[in-house]
Formats: sequence, structure tokens, C-alpha cells
Amino acid sequence: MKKITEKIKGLSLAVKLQIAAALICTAAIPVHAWFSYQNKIEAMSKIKKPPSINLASGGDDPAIYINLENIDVLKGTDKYFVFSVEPGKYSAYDIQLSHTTNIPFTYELYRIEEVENEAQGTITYTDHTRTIDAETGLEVETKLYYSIMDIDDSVTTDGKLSLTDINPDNDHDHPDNPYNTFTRTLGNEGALDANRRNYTANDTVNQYVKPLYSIVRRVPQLYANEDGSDERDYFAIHLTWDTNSNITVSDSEYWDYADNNKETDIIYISAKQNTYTTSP
Amino acid sequence: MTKFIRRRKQASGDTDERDRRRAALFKLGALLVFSVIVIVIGSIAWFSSNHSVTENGMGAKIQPVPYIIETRDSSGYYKNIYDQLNSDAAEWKISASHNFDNHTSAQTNEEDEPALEPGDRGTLEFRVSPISADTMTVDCIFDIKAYWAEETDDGNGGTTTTLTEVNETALVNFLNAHIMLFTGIDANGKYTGLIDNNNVSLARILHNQVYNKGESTYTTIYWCWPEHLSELTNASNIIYAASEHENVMSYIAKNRTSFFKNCSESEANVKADLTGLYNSFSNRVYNRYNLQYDNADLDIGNNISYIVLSMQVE
Repeated sequence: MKKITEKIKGLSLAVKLQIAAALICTAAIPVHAWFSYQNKIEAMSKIKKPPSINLASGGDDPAIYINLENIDVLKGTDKYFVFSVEPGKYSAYDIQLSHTTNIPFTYELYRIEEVENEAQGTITYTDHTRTIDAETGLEVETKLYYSIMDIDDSVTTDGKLSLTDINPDNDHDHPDNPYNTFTRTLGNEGALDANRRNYTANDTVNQYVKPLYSIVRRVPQLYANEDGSDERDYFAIHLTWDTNSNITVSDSEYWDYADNNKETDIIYISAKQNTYTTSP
Repeated sequence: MTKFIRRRKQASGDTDERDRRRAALFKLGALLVFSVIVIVIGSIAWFSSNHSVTENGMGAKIQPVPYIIETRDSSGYYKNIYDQLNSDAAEWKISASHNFDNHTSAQTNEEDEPALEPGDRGTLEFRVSPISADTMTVDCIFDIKAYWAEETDDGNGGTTTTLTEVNETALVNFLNAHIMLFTGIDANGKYTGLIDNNNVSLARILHNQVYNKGESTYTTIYWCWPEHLSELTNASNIIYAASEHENVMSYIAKNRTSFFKNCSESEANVKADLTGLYNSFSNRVYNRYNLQYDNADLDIGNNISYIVLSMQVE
């Protein structure tokens, strides 16, 4: 007894604590194992956020402000319309333009960037989101200026993107054309996949309402953030037209020249991610 | 005088020693009493926690542990977050090639963190080892729960994640339908043995699994999240063996409101439509169902952060 007590006394406090802890654990572990008998196992995982690519307007405006207003073709020979793409985390995307051809516009696509003032860029855009009146909370319209970016890459030359027509109708001897000649590119339903046509074979439609699809593939994202938020690539659609004051409706080329004759076209702009390295 | 003082000192020295000895004994005694208490508690636990207790007349017979569920060795990538749930289930431990969070492939592809998205697939393993009996037959019930995570700054430069369970049935059902479970894979890499659900809930049940004592083979569960509907309906694209397509079509039709968002067709119509797609493709029919399938996926992606797949043995 004395020997034991002496031995115990001889131990340091740290060792005594360790012995006590060991004794507790030895008794506790069989107890705990008993309580943890299981009939269910669970594995946890995480769901990724779906990525998104958005269309938006110029400045900081959302897509609702994309606006191709009334165009007076007798004032000037071209017009620019600004829109933008928010590519999110996608490094490249396709832009497709599809439009009916009632109005003889030529469509071009340019990549643009914002500049300080009119001297540096002639493309204008009225922004509604960047400035909000602090007192009234109402939008303040800000006039922004853009200029064509001077860049060259796989799809761009001097800022102009190379739009390729998917279904051009260049058959200038088209049977649908009452005048049998036209000099501009219209849409050709027959060139589209049978499942993707807008009209069936039995429809009889005016050739100007067959949409023309043009696409530029793998446009690189220029302003990537780490998380791809808030940054936009800005583009402008450049419409050009020819007028001819000497032409009348009885001339066969009448519909190739623009006039203020209240024609209407429908235009679709779409963007889709395309980060594939091989076609498409 | 000094002699007297010396003797007083000796006497008090003796008392001191006695006191010290008494203190040591007291401490030892306390330690022993404490250990005895723990042992007693341990034996009480022996009586109070059992899977089943049978009674025969006056006595009560206690059954030993019937089985142990064995899994692999490593914890999943999200173990820390899983611990927050304080679930009373055991963690389904994984290995590098059999896991639920793709973390091996995530590391090779240098993604930010491993996570699931449509198109992902993998395997999970488990084994039920009978202890008392030589063989046992069990049902394995699979269910997936969904959680939404809020991340807040914890003040130390990191973030804390708070999980709340997603209770919206439609959403949880999308998840349970879209993550499909199979029991096997054939030589062409096509799944076989779709695990079906009963008609009450979307929990899937693997019936009548037989496990023998002393065996060491694991049951492999093949999980996959089909990326597009064509992987389930187009004969050229399906991810399961052609011999299974009847089963798979019936399964999808039975659970149509969980596969497709806002599907209002009858079960018979859906089965007929999907079988029709399998036999001869129709753009119009496919686009309608594919849009609903993709919308369900979009809902899952936007409203669910973490998921827990559980396997319960019964």
C-alpha cells in the first residue's frame, strides 16, 4: 500500500491526468460503440450552379432596352444599334442574327467599346440604368458614346465580326419573285433542315418573310472576370441601305432600295455558349 | 528548549506526512470510485441500447447486433458540411474511384470544387456484413434529401455555411428522379438493373439483397444524372442497355411529374410518347419533353446547394 501510494505520489501531475483520462476512455469507448450501431449510411455532395449567358443592352441597361427605333431612311445611309452579351463563365459563344427581309437593309456586326465623348466615337446610346436621380429615384438618361474596337482575332477583322449566312437565297432567278430578279440576299427555307423550317411545304409565303439566318461562331469573351459577373462584351448592329429617288414601284428593283414605306421586319438576336474546340 | 522544539518539529513533520498520505489515498479512492461509476454506466448501456428485444413470458431475451454496414475508408469532400447536419446516420465513406462528389475528376480538371451537374455519373459501394446469422436478406432503401446553403462571413476571413433543408416536394422529387441508380453495367458501358421506386414515394428500393457472413464483395451502385433527355429516349444515345428500355420508360412515365417540370400528360400517354421516340425520333415530341426535363434541371441547379444520398437497410 505504501509502495503504491509512494509511486503514485512520485508521478507528476501531467502523468496522473493522462492515466485518469486513459481510464475514462477505456470505459467510455465500448459504451460509445454500442450506441453508434447503424442501419443507415449517407453520402453528401454539392450541386453546381447552372451557368448562364445573357443578352443585354448598351451601357448598364438590361435586355428590355434593346431598341431598333423608327428609322428614317431618307436621313443618312446607316444606323448603329447597340447590344451586349454577358457571357458569364463562358469563354466563347455564338451570336446568331435572324431577320426577315422586307426592308432592304444590310446587316453587319461590330465589336464596340465605350469612349469618353463624341470626338472619340460616333455610335451613341442612351443609358437608363447608370444614373438614378438620388431624390426622385427615377432613371436619368445618360448619353453614352461607343466606337468600333480596332481588334483582330479569329472572327473579327478591324472590329467587324464575320457573319456567315446560313441559308442565303442568292438565286436571283427565283420563281417566287414576281419580278424574277432581285439583287440582295434573302432567306431560303429550303436550305434549312426539314425539322427547322419556319413554313411547311404547303405554305405559300412572300419571299421576304422567309428569315435569313447569319451566325458568327466562337466569339471570344474579352472582359472575363474571375467569376464572370457584371462584365459585358458590347456589339453594334450596323444597318446600311441604299435609296434611289428615281425608282418607282413598277420598276423590278423597287424592293431592293429603301424607302419610308412603313415596312416592318422582325429581328432575332441570340447568343449561345460555344466553348467547343472543334466544330460546331 | 531546542530539543523540545526539534521534537515538536518532528511530530508536526510526522503529521504532515500522514496528511499527505491521507490526501494521496483520498485522490486514489476518488479515481477508483469514478472508474467504477463509468463501468457501471457501461453495463447499463449494454442493457438499454439494442436493435431488438424479444420477450418470452417472464424473461426478456436481448438480441446481439445483427449486422454492420461497411463502406470504404475515406471521408467525402464535404464531410465538414455534412457534420453540421448532426445526422444519426453513419457517413458513407468513399474511395477515390467510388464516390458521390466527383472529387477525383474535379482535381484532375482543376475545377474550383467538386460538385454535380447534369451529365455526371459515378459509383458508390457498400456491404452489409451479417454478424449473428450466417446469411441475411435485406431491402436497401435509397433516398435523396436536398439542402440550401447560406454563406456568411465568419469575421475571420472565412465563411460559415448554414444549411436549411429544402422541403418543397416538387423540387426534391426532381432531384430524386433525375439522379438515377442502377445496379450494374454491361460490356458496352450501358447501365443495367434500374433501381425502381414503390408507388408511395420516390425512395428507391433494392429488394432482397442477400449477404453472407464472411463475404468480402461490395455491392456497387451506379448513379448517374442524365444530361439530356435523349440519353433516356433516343435509341442511338441511351445510357442503359437496350434490353432495359421497357423498364426505364415505365419508370419515367410512372414518375413523369418528377422527371418533367409541369408535365400534365397521363402516364399512358407519356409512356407511349417516350416509346415512340425510342422507335422513331420526332423533333416535335422530343422538344416538348426535353424542355420540361431541362427546366427541372434548371430548378435543381438554382434552388439546391447540397444533397445527401442515404441508404437504409431494412
